Amino acid sequence: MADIFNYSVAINTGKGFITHGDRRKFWLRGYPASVWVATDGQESRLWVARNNGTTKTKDEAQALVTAEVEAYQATYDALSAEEKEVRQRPETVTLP
Amino acid sequence: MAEYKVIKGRRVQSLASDAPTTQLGQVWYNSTSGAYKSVVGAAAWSSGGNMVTPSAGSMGGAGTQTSAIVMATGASASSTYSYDGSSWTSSPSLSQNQTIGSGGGASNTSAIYCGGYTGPPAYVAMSTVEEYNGVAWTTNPTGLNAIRKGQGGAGLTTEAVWVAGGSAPVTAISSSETFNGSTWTTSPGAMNSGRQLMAAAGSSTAGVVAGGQIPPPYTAYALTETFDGSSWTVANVLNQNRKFPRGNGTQTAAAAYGGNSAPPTSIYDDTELWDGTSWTTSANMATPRDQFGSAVTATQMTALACGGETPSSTDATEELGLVNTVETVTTS
Repeated sequence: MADIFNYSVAINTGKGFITHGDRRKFWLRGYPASVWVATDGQESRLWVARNNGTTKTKDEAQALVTAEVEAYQATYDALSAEEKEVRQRPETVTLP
Repeated sequence: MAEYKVIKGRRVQSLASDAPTTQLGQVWYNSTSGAYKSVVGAAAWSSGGNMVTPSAGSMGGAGTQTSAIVMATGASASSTYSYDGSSWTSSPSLSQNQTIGSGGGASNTSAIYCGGYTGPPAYVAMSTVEEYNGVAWTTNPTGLNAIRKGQGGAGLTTEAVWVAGGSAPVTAISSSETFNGSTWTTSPGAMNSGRQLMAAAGSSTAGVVAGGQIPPPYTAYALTETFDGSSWTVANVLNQNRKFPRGNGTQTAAAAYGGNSAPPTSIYDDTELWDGTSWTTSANMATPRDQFGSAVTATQMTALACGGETPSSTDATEELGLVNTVETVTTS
């Protein structure tokens, strides 16, 4: 069975990185560590290529996200009580 | 049942393939797929220019999608950045570190920033109000009547800004205040539920707030309230409990998006659209985020979301817009 999603790392270059048309063509969501998950298909693969992205396996992408979230959890744990009042400790992110 | 020709005065074309998407509202019959089709406007978020630096911290915001300014950007709590619809540039700093205050104003050369707390190292809630004229920030001689941080607030011009709720130091505030350009007036009526970290939109005589949290225990809420300049009315709730969302628009056409849930924390990417009566779920941002900035004066369908926590701080900007798309028409 074909994969439902494709996984990539692509640096958001700003305007034009994701267009309104892209959003209408396929589902896409960004995660920490510049990881992107999209419904797999020609359009989303072209989007990865257009943005000079690097295709990853799901495990590779998950490892990148987990490492960044854990680093951020450590940052949060070091905050003062006042700073923690208006922020949440990041939860582990599980890619679809 | 009336025929389309009777209603519209013209027949529906039969085409072998879909028509171009340039004519919003055009209807045709696709003889290949055997379905009636039309061009409709659908909401979608796209990438905007990246911020100068990754920024978070519940920024205050003002202006529109093509002329925005965000204030107190967390990474450096006095910093402000301006957006021209394409790129971000550093703007003059606030006079002191502030965070989780609220903004208002028409553009990136006419903005106001209210309240918040002083940020590192003191964390004292403030009543300070600063105004920006495109050149420099100046502290307004008249501050808020109440110290407050995390309040909702908006305002189409700097002379008609309003703030509502917040907390100080950890007790929820239900009062609201309006500004006439020189002095602040505490509204006779209080919010029905004092809380902080809401989405806010509209004017000082027709505002709306939604979501937020009540400290402690910092549970996320879906509550919506509307404001007529003096009193608050409970309205239909958001579809999603959320705190740290951002909003823009008017009391009859607003958008609220992003934010997060109560612990365990889920960061949201979805958008809800308000028509003056109820909220409808709409397009998702590409990047889920909370503690971000927005252009509070923007119209409902030209929202701007910048920075925030994903949970790491991001410099990504997204712009909401309508894109013409072909949809199948349901016929009976």
